[in-house]
Amino acid sequence: MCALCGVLMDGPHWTEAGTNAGRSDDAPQGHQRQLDRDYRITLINRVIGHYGCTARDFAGSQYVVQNLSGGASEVVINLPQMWQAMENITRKIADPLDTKLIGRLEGRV
Amino acid sequence: MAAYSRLTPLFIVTGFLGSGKTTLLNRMLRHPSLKDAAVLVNEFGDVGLDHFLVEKMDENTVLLESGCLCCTIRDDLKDAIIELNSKRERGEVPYYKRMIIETTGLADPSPIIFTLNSDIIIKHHYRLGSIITTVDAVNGLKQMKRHAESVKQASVADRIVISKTDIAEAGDIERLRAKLERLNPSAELIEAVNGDVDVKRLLRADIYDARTKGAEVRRWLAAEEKNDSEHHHSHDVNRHDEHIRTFTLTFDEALDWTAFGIWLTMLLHAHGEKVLRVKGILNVKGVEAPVIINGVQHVVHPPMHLKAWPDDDRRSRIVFIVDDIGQDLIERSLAAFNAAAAADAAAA
Repeated sequence: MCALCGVLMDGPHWTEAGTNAGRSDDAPQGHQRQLDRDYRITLINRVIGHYGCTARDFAGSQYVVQNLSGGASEVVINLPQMWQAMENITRKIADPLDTKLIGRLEGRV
Repeated sequence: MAAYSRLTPLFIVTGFLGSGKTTLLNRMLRHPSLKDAAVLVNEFGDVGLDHFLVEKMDENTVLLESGCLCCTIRDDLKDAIIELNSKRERGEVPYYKRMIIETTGLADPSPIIFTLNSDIIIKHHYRLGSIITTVDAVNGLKQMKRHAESVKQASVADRIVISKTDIAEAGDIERLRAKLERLNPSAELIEAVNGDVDVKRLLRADIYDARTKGAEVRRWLAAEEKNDSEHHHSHDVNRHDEHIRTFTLTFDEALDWTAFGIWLTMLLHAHGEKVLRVKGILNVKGVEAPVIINGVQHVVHPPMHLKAWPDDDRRSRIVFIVDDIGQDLIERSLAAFNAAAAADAAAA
């Protein structure tokens, strides 16, 4: 648990721990880690923007998910929690097989 | 935390009622190479009869309380593993190097896998080894027709032990093998006679064993290619279970790892119950080594590097075993996420 904010920490999620079982020589560190995180947030926003949400970094270890009005928000530590938070806020299913979402992403290419 | 490959592997032995799990387990436990294994057994009913059959492992055997391992006593599984781990640390039980968990015949193995991956203490000391599923050569086909659990147990397996081959008709064995190869092409099929199997083959070769992971991936890919070519030539839409589909997605372009992570976590969030298995070899942008992914329903194992590509093919190949989800939609969705990332990267 984070002593400052009380968020339970469970080690890095597989999506953030590099591509080789979280081995420190392969996992992104320092500045690269933050760049990766920023890039991840950019891509996440492409997706959850479709549902009327945004995500931003919080303290380099968590994410804040909120609706566009800012009236509802949740703090999460990894992507699985992100999808649940998005659903809690929007009451919509975060589904990558949603053809409207796919169409939106394809429209960017 | 120890390197992932050095964590104690947990092997799950599952299989439908009467399919020979206990016979297999007893044979396995008599094998010299399993002297260093701890075993957790579980059965329905007030008395765990199976416990008495696993006599030689008394010291390291914890009998879980009655009920279904998956649903009602998941905490017991967690507590049992942690308790055994504490005893090992204190030297109260021999230092076991692997653990075997036997499920009930009606168990859906995925909640067990979820439990193993969701507890922080377990995650720091253990990793999933292989899922071993027993299928009865005499009744296996009928059971798969009638019981969804049976299909699921075979779908999530890394190794399938076909039992009772000594009393089954040769034609039945062949039909069962064909069915299993279509259902789960990357699982290794091993025939057992009276529970006799090559124990080393069952337990020692797993994807996270540094000594064997290259060979294991080559085996996956060979099975996938065989299944794929047969599929394209036969066009038999009825050959799979009515709802379970197995297919391979192939991508020529290197995949964006961040986009892939976003996509897969979202897919498993929305459809994890229906994604029985996903595993593959990825060509990831900016990463020289091939990256292996391996997931069972909501659980994804940490990705791993192979030292080198197993063959000249540098394409990403991902095998899915899904329940009622269309291949085209999954393929289109992943391609869209990857292409959107590529567009963002190009614009940056």
